[in-house]
Amino acid sequence: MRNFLRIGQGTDVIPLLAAISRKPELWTADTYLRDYPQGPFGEVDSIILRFPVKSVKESEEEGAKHFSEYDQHECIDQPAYALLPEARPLIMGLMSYVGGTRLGRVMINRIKPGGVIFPHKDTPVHAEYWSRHHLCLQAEPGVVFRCEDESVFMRPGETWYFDNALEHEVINNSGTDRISMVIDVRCA
Amino acid sequence: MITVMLESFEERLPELLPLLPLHYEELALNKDKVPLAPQYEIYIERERRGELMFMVVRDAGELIGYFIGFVAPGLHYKTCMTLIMDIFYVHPDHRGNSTGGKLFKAVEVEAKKRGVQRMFVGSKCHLDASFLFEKLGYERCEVTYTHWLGD
Repeated sequence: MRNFLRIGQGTDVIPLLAAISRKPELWTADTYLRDYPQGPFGEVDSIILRFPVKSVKESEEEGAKHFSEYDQHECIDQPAYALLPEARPLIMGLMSYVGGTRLGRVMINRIKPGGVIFPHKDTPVHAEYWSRHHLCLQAEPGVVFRCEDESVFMRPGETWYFDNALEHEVINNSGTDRISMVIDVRCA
Repeated sequence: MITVMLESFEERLPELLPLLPLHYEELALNKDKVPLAPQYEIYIERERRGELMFMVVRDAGELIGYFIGFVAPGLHYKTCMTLIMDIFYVHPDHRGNSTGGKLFKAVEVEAKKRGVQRMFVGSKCHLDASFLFEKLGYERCEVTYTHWLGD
């Protein structure tokens, strides 16, 4: 297996899941990813904990101008991060474990049964700078996480690194919501 | 939705158990004399040695089909990594919609990753699946006979 690496298992994710269950309104508080034009997350609910300054630009020129004025890698805490303190030790534990030097995007994504994250590659400048991790919070057999020609089932409590520069997709062919926390870490 | 994925036989055995009697009822020979009694521990042991392939078909999370095969250098041909099918099954409700084809395509992809050069599959005469294998480009190569010798 070259595109995935399971780097942890047995993490207690129940306190975070319980907190999310107590605050279901967080799933619809920020629909930036779901609504992103032609993005791969049209069937996904997200709770965005950390993210860069959000913007949708109409043209490449507008995008280039935006990035010339901002450090596109700089991520800031979003309101949901303060509302889910149960997430912080999990994130900081990963930062410590992998020797992270900077914390990037953190999002909790929910794919309903039958839903997909459509096949896509993350932008090269992003995938090159950050290491992408998934901490699985809830999943049952039938969830297929494919990265190029490899597929894995990420069990709840497992943390995985994968190469998001390659084409990847997630198919939830189970009978239960699949919930995973995406954590981008800059490593030395 | 149908998905096919490599899974762990040892982990998924409890899910597999309800399908085995259906499979046995439909395909086994001499059922009046030979009960279903798999040696699960041998499958698990071979999986732990990296010699077993357990490919699973699911629909909305439900396990509705599977392929089990053994991967090892050929006993007669040690230079040839070989996949020998043990069993495969697709629930009757899911036949006729390319599920079998998807299953064997996934088996081939995984086999290639493991360095398999040649694979052998088979079909019962009383429930012939030759059409599936011939559609996938496999060659007919052998006929197996059985003869009950007594209790």
